[in-house]
Amino acid sequence: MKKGKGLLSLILVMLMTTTIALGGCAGDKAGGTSFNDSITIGIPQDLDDSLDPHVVSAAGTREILFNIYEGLLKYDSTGSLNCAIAESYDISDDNVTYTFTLREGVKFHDGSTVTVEDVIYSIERCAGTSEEEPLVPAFSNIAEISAPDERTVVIVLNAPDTEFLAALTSAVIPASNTDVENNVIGTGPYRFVSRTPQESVELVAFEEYWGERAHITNITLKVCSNADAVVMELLGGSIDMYCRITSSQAAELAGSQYQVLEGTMNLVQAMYLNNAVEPFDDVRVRQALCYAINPQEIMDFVSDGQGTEIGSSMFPAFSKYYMEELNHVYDQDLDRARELLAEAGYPDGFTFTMTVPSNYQPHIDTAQVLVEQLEAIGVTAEINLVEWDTWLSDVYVGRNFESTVVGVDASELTARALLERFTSDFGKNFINFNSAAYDEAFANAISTTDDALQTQYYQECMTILAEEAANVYIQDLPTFVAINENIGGYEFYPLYVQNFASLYIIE
Amino acid sequence: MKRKWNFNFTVGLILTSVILLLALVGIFFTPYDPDAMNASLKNTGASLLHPMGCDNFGRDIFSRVMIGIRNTFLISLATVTIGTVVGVLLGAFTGYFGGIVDEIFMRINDALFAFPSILLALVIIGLLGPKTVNVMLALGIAFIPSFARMVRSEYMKQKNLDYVKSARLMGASHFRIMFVHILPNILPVLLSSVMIGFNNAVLAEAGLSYLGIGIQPPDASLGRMLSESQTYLFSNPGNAVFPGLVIVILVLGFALMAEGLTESDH
Amino acid sequence: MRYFVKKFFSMAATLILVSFLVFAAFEVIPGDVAVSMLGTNATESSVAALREELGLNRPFLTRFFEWIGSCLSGDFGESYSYHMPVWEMISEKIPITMTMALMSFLITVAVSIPLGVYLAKHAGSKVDKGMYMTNQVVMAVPSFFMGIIFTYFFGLVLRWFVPGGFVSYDKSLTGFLGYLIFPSIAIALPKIAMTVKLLRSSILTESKKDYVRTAYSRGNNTTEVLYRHVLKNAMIPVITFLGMTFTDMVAGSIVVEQVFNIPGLGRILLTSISNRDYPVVEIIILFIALLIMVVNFAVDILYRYLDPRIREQQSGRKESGKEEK
Repeated sequence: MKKGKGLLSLILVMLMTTTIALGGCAGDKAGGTSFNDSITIGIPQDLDDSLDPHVVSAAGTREILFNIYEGLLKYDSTGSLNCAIAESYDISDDNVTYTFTLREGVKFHDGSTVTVEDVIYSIERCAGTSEEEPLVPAFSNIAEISAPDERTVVIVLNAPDTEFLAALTSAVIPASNTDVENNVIGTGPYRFVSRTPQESVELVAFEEYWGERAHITNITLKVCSNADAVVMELLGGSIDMYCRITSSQAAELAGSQYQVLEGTMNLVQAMYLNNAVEPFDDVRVRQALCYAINPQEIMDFVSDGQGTEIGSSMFPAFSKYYMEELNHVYDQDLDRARELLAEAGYPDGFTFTMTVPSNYQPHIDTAQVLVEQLEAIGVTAEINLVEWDTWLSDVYVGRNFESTVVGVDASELTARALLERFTSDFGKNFINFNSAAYDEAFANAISTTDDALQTQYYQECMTILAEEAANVYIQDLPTFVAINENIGGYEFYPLYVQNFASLYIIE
Repeated sequence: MKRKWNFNFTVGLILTSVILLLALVGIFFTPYDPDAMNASLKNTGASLLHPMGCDNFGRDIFSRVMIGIRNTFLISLATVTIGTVVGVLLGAFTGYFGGIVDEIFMRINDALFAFPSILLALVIIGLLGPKTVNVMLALGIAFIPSFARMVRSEYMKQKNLDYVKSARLMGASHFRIMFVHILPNILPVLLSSVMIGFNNAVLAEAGLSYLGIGIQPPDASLGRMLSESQTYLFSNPGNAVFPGLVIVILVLGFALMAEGLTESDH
Repeated sequence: MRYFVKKFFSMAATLILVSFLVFAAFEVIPGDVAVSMLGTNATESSVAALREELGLNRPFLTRFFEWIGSCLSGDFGESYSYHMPVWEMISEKIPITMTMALMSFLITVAVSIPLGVYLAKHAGSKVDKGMYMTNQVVMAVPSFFMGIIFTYFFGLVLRWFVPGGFVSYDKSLTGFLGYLIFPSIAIALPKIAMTVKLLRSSILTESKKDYVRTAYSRGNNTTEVLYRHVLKNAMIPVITFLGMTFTDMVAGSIVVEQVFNIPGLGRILLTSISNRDYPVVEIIILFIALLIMVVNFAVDILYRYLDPRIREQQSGRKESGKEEK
């Protein structure tokens, strides 16, 4: 592999589908920004899972922490990996030794300077101990990590891993911080000031940020836990921006002082099926369900036709891997669906339960349309709305479910983050997918150092998921950002994050 | 009631009957399939074909209101039945006998009373799963304390009255006194509180649905429809107005009937 | 004196019972705090490890008594979600919810008593009949629906307040109180309707009693009789009812807070339940329970003071309070 300096376009170059926000930021640096601005941004839930960047689990918290913490490397809005705390890096020819040079004088929010010890501490913290699964799976591959001098960190891997760099976006925190939950100290463009539970979180631009200072000084994140009331709050003017509104909410804002930007969520929405329980242990039943549904119709109902159809566990922003042809493995064909059901021994259909988390309306709406579509082939689905916590313990951890409608996102921009989940003995394989061919293709993909070959193996994985009908794939949901007309610079990212540093007030 | 035409009771009865008739018809016939979606009708207003318009899935609101009344009515009825039966039994025994048992029961009752019914409902629904039956059970249990308390105090009043004393002298069993002698005497009070309880059940079901722990979609209930409509208040006010109106009429009808009953009691 | 001692012990017993019920509830409902904390990082092994770390694997009763013990020594524990002391978290929220409850209570009293007296005085008039129907309708509107209508009408059409524009009391007291006016009215309206109805009928019943007739026959004028004699006695059931109303307002704020996006106790309670953050839930419920009992107790005392004749039968009058819940 080549040496990387500064900007390295690693996994993908261009994605961003049809949706580009106002260009802003990059060139024009928002000339006359006064640096005294304050805005209020509505967030759908409080950051109440964890403020520890290595422990955080909720996507909604992770997208905010993106502004506070940084790793050696950092994604930009095109999905490229840029240097952040590292100034440059070098990869040996055998692809196992990574040498990072730290940027000089990068400050933590408490004023101290980032040292090599902090970097090593943070990586070791995520590599975890031997008995537990590491917080960052890729770090289990680290053989040795050392600091030959005060600005250099050398990481030696057990085996080559072409996607290793992506893992180095994980946050660097000060080694001296013993209470990471309550002392929120990172190196990002925004500094955590205070929080009031279930009310708000205050952020302020970090003056000593190594890069370009954020344009808007004070940001208040206001918790708007009642999704039904968001439109009223926007129209009332108590929030300047809300990052995740639905298409129907967007429609209600027409003619107001808000502009609505549209992007994609970058997640895989599907009716996930528990492959280990009857009748979903029969591939014909799973395929029958895939033939029965019509993703376009679902999008028509749920988001006025917006959204992108998908056919496997990969979303279009990942243009390197995304295979459009997989969308057509099962074009709606009710006769074929009935045939398959009859073959599988269910000529009169069957009844099953869809366990759906109650905290996200588009998933509930999708489930309701699915119920209608499945009725056409005599299959009765019953929706069981559960709280997010119950979903986690029953479905995700306990795997005690028949089917569920959710979206699965990628914590980092690697195919591994999306596909490792379906290897048969992986701890997070909540659908109990079990395919020797899949396991083999995945193992090949992560062990090869040849980029083209790796892509091929990953695509083989995706094809297996589609052909085996592991899940009933639906769409990559659209996302809508409502933002006051006088705020510019919003950028969509190819992963689930929000970047507040690029926002500025239009004079 | 017999003496003169009772305005409240009559108006209440008419209002309630109209609403319940809608629900009754809804069991056998609705103009459209209440769950059938139609993309071309999304959020359309009232028209001749759809007298209340269509919701965000293009479902006919009128049909859904009919089903919604039925579900809301059944839940409230079950809630009040559980509350009344258990409440009467508990209240009768504790009020009639008094003593230690009374003290213990009233403490538990107080504890239940201080336990927000939302939490109670959440616990029960969490335990048993969010099925309509469990919503009934959850609300029913939450309603027991107020009934038990009311019945208990009535029994305490009645047990010292002459007719009870004479019944006891004549050798009637406690059981007979409690349920054959006393119960009919507290019936008017009980009946009007049952009706008010029914109203509270309707409102509680709406509140639960608003918090997302009531009846499950795509099934309709008045409360659920109301809370789902909030996003579309501007583009499709009918979505909120009609279920809201039906709740108000239903509750009003029962309140007026209860009012009429207490009046005739005097 | 014996009365107070007895009352004190029965309150303590109720509190322990309540906390036991909550504790037991969290034992049986699905979902657990370890899973909640780990979120999508959860696997069976990591959950087991975290449960061990939090001490959740110890027997239920051991944990319960330990918890009681630490509460008695003034340590209310730490929130699992926020990693801060529960009391610190709650004490910020209590003023919000209490202010809202108090405001709606004051509004209720200020509006319903004059209105009730007026209607009783003019019983049978057109105003009386009109108010009667208005009352019935107001009672039939679910509180959250009333809230939605308020936000729409006063917030978006008339622009009298900014929906969702809640300001904390430590930032601006007037802004804080100003924002709470409409939620308070939304809570108060149905209560006003009930109180007016109760007071009106209570006054009318009282006026038919012999002592009132006697007072008239002595030549006292209507107004004087009404204020000096009738009102005092007519207020007895109303006070009981208002007592229960206040506690009802505190508990009922859960839903209204949701409509107006007010970060009070109700909001924390709901999210803590769904996060299975039971140390927080325990303390909030205990607080509400204690409040309810203290208010009931105060009503009891007031009651005895107003009407010394009543001892045992007093609970019989409470039936008037059953209308709410």
